[in-house]
Order: sequence, then structure tokens, then C-alpha cells
Amino acid sequence: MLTNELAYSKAVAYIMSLLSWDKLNFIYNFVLANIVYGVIVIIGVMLFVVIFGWVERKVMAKAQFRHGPTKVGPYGFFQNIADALKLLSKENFIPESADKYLFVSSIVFILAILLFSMLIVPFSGGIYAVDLSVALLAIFVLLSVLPILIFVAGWSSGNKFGSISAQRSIIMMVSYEMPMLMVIAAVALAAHSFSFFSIVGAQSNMYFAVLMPIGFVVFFIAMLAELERPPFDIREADSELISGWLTDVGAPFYASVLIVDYARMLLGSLLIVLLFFGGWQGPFLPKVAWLLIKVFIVAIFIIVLRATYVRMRLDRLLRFGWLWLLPLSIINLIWVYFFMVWGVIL
Amino acid sequence: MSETKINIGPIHPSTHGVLRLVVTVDGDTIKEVEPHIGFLHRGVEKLAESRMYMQNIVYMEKLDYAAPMAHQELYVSTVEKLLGIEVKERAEYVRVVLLELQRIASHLLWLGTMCNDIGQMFSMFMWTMRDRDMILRLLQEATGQRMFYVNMRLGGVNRDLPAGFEDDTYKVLDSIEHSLGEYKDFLESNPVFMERLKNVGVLSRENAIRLGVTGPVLRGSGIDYDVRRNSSYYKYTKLGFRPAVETGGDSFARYKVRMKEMQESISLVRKALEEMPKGDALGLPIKLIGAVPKEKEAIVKRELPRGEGMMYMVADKQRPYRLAIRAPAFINLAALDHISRGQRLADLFAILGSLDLVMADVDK
Amino acid sequence: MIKPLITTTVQIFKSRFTVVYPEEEEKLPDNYRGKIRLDMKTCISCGACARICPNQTIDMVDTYTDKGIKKMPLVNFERCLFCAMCEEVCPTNCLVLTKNLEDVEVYDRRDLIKRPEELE
Repeated sequence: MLTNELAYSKAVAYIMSLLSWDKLNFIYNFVLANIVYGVIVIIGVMLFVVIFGWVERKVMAKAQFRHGPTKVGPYGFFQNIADALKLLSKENFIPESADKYLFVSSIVFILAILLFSMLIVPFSGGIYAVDLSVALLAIFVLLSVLPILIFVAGWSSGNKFGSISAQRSIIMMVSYEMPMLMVIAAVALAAHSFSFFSIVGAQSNMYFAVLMPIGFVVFFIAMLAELERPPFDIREADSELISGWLTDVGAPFYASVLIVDYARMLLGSLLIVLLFFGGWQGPFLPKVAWLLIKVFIVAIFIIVLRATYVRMRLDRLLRFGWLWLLPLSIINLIWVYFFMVWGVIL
Repeated sequence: MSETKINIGPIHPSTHGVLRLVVTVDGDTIKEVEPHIGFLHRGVEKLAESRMYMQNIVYMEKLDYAAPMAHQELYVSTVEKLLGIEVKERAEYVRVVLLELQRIASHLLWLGTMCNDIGQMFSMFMWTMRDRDMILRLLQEATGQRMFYVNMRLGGVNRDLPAGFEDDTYKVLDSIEHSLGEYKDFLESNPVFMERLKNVGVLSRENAIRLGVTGPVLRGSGIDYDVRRNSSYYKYTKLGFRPAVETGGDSFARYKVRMKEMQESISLVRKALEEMPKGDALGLPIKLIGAVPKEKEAIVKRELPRGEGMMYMVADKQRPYRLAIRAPAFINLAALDHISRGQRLADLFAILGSLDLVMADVDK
Repeated sequence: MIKPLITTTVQIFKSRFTVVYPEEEEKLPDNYRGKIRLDMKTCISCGACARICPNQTIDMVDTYTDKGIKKMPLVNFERCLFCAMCEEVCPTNCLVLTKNLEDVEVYDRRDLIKRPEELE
């Protein structure tokens, strides 16, 4: 007893000696500024979710000869807010055969990780939270944790459709992760760094989409598979396994999963624009406006793809990933290396 | 290895109606499929015994909610054969026009829902529904309702085609022909779609005859049998009808058979509208005491959009004593177990989509 | 691979096909089978409509008219199929199916059983 108390008081005294007033002040300011920025990011993400959701529903409706949402707000703009409020007001029940703690915590973790990774991506030359020098790698580490969390959520949900969907999630992850990392390696090689600011700065002469077109196509396809958008929405195949891992998710968690879906689409489009289309560079308009315009064009293209293509079968995706995407990405890496060595660009 | 049973329950987005499939699965490969049916059974054959002949039309239409005109016409032909009533000549052409329009509408619905099951996210479904809606508006002009028409009478129809029907029909047929070409390009230039359908659910020639399937499922396996040509009725041979046959036996062959059938129906409607004689197409109106039967029993075969349908009726003064129905979708469903052994779980829905089932037909 | 995308993009710029219902309405043909209308002055209470109906939805009930108490049809719209057999059988043509679709929308199921006076 006495030795424990003694050790405890010694530890507290040591820690108190480390923190002087200056250091405490610095930590206080740092944390407060980042908390404020974090809150701004979360509100911004919610706003983008509402706008993206509206754009998606209207564009898909136009491609199918119908109107889409029209009643709630002007041209149906607030329809997604009404849907989210409806979902949040329902009962959240967890089935008996599900593993309660794993199920709930995996869904909460998915939302947390996604919102956290929005902090690392800059929105313009002046709007950013932290300037990590390994930002690109950090984003992909965070994004590759997501399929594992989906696996945990599907496995612990207690019904067979969830476990089938969980198995498919792991098999999908095997097929698209490698080509994506190879293309990121090529981009980092061409820009000499992993930080977003230098990547955008290195594209002032020529966009990377023009420098490495094969790499751009491979990255786009692999990004679609990552974002769970058709034609690769195998994890929650809507018409085969009735929503896969989401079958038994209660209504409030379903709302948070919808937010995750749209936020992931925003993140994916941001990455494509930052890595391959020059980010926020452009004449006349302020930098943020250029970034938003490019992100919207990429998002509309992804939505038109959703309205057009049929879902791919899982074994064909595996074959496609290893037979076509991986060799193309390696060829792309060799191409960029030769450009660097002969100094044609940069 | 370890085999689990998955229950693809009565409520599912891709089984067309209420159908329960208990699938025994080993990893991702299907070992056995066991359908449980009967959720939509309404006892139509027994109900028909307590109503008069013409009151039963209302129940026979509800046997198939995708193409109601076909079953209604089958029943009325059976009653006509029983009572010994001849169909007027202009009425034969009118019936051919209405039936072939209904067949195009049913195949458009099939195309939309099959693309839905494969994972298309409703685009193709909406486009084919738009075309089907144009046909339903035509039928609404001719009979008065979009679905469940009740317009066939003994010896003809209850109201002749209105004025201006022919011009509207020609416009609609041109638009549908253009759309069919677009759908063909849209789907066949899409390698992902072809991968989902080729070599999936192969049914060989011997097995098709042994299992007793009919309709596009049979013609997709290379056997040339079509009731409109083999035991012809109305004026199909005079209008120059040729059935559509494909070898191959997989889902892609069945898809091509149905697309060809739609083209054939469009040209049949055009020819029938040109060659229609002037005259009178009205049948006998409904009365409380109708005609007396001359024969004792009657069997009639027709080519419904889903296969071959038959009705057998035994007469008893003013009501049927017994009515027996051979529904094509019921027999086609029995082939599901045989076709899908050894395929993957994701292919089961492509196979179900290409068999074109409607549960009201299966359960009667 | 590219052709489907072009087809979809072209469809975005064409006009809509659906109708925003309460604001715009669709045009119905003349022989549309909607709500039943009864002309109480010409009804002769023969009961043919009640006997021919396949679903047994029409019932003859006592109603007050100028000539005393007569039996007139009462229609149960929960069971009516709008098949128009009663219109065909009626000898005086007093039972007619109109184009009216809006009066059969109710908030309470008991309002669906319409007496002869409400069928006017």
C-alpha cells in the first residue's frame, strides 16, 4: 500500500515538473485551434453531404426521365435533411444473436476514422488543419482500415447475409489495394514528396493526369472500388444480399452510415482532383472555387457511372484486379521513373 | 466441407413476388435449391366452380399481372369452344393486335426487372417502364383500363377499336423499335453485362424436353416449338409468323430469344393493322342467362408470353363443373434446381431473372 | 464501354415523362371505368346488377324516393373491381361508370360503403 501511494505521488510530481506555464499555454492554444477547426470540418462535411445527396438524386432522376425530390424546400434541396431526421427519430434495436459491443463500436469507429481523415486533406493554399509531410500515406492507411471494420460489422451482425458480405469485403480489398498503392508511389515519385502541398505545386506545368494517363485510369477504377460505388458495390449488393452488412443495422446508425458513404465519396473525389488534376490551381477565381468546381465535375461523372453500369461479379473483379490493374500500374511506375531519369518534365 | 443453408426468404428485392428459396451452399457454390411456393394461392380453380361462365373472366385475368390479356383470351376461347360459338373475322385481327401489344409490354417488364436484379440501379428499368407505359396508354384507349381489361366477349370484343387508334399505334411502334435498338447497343457493348449472362445457367436440349419447360426457355435451348406455328390459331400463319430460336441454352440465349420476339411482335401488329377487314367485331353482351353448352368438355392451348398455357373445362349447365389450368411459370420454376447446381450464389439471381417468373402464375 | 455512358448522358437532357400528381393530371379516355353513378329516377329495382356482379359487392337496400320505399343498389367500394358488368346488364342504363377517380379516396374505411343517395 505504502509503496503504491509513494510511486503514484512521485509520478504526479514528475509530470508536474515537465509542464511549465509556457508549455501549458502552447498545448491549450494548439488543442483549442484544432478543436475549432475540427468542428468546422464536421459542419462542412455535413453540408457537403446534403449537397452531394441532392445532386446525386437529381442527376440520377434526370437520367431516368423522372423528377426526383421536388417538395421539401426549393427543388427538393432539403430532402436529405428530412430523411436524416426521420431516421434519427426511430428506435435502435440490436438483434439477439449479434455481438453487441463489436457491432456498435465498429460502426462508430467507421464514422470517426472518416471524419478524422478529412482533417489531413487541405482545401486550398490557405485552408488546412495540419500540414503533414506524409499526408498521402496517412490517408491511405486510414482508408484501408475501413474494409476491416466493415468485415467486423458484418461478421458480428448475426445473420447470414452479413457474414457473406463480410467475406466479400475482404476478398475485394485484396484485389484493389495493390494497384492503388503502386499508383500512389508513382505520384510521390513524380512530385518528390508525400505532402499534398508539394504534389499540387509540382503540377503547375502539366497535370499528372496528362503525364501518366494509364495511372490515372487505374487509380480511378481502384478508387471506385474503394468507395463502394457501382459497378463495384459488391459489399452491400442491393438486390442480392438485402443490404449485406447493413441488413440489421438500426435506423440511427443507418443515418450515420449514409453520412459515411457520402463523405467517402467527397474524400475520393478530392483525392482524385488533388493528385491528378492540379488541385486548386486556375486563373481568375479564388482557389477554393476551382477546387470545388473540379470536385463537382468528378462527382457528377461518378454518378453517371452509377446510373449506367451493371454490378461486377466478385471473381471477375478479382481476376480483373490482378490480371489487368496490377501490371498496368507497374508499367505506369516504370514510365514515370524513365521520365524522371531523362528529365523530360520537372 | 461445411455446407450451410441460406434462406432467401419470401420478402426479397429480387425474387419476383413471394417465393422462398432454401439454398444449400458450400462456400460460394450452390449445391441444391429448394423452392417453397404457395404464398399467393387464392384457389382460382375452385372459385371458378361457383360462378357463371362470363363472371369468371375477372378471376382469370388476375392469374398474371404482367400480361393479363393473354390469360383472359385463353379462358374466353375455352368457353367459346365449349359453347360452339365462332369468332368473327374482324375480331380475330383485333384480338391479334391486342395480344401482341400485350406480349411486347410483358417482355419490356422482363427486361427491366432482369437488369435490376443484375445490379443496374434502376436506369434500364425506368426506360423500359416508359415504353411499357406508352403501350398501356394505347390499351387504355381501346378498352378503358390500363390493367385488368375485361374486354373479351364470346365471339369478339366488347368495344371496337376507336378512331385514331391506328395512327397512335404506328407512332408508338416506331418509338419502341428505336428504343429497342438503343437497349441492344447499351447492353451488348457492355462487357460486364455480357459476363454476367454468358455461360450462366446452361440447359441442354435433352434436359429441356425432359423437364417439360416451354416458351422462350425452350426456344433458347435450340428446340423449335411455338404454339402459334405448330397448332396455329387466329391468323398467325396468314400473317407470316416465324418463331425465334437460339442455340446455346444459357441466359444470354434466352435474352436474345425474347428480344427477337419483341421485334417479331412489332411487325405482326403492323401487318395485322394493315390487313384488318372492315366489319363488326362485337361479341355477345353479358346476360344473366347465357347460352347453353353443346359439348361436354374442351381443351385449348395458347402461347402466353411465359410459355404454353392450357385450360381444360368440364361443363355443367351455366357454370363450369371443373376448370384445370396449366400455368407455364409453374413448370419453368421446377427447372431452377436443375439449372443452378454448380453455379455461384450471385448467378442465382441472373438465372431467376432469365426464367421470367410471375408468382401469381405459379401459385394460381 | 463508352457508348453506354454517352446514352445515359444524352438522356439527362431530354424532357421528363412522369407527372407531378396533384398539380398536373393525366388525360383519361372517354370509356374509362371509374366511380359508379346511379340515376335514381330511372332505376326499376330489378336487381340484375346485384346478381351479375362476380364479387357480390352490390346489395339492394331500402331507400326513400318520391314514389315510396324502393330497393336500390348499395355499392361496397372495398370489393368493387370496376369491371363494368353491372353497367352492361342494366336494362334501363341507369348505372354508369364515370371518369371520376377522386371520390373513392377516403380517410376511413367505413366511408367506402356508399348508399344509393351518395352514388348520384
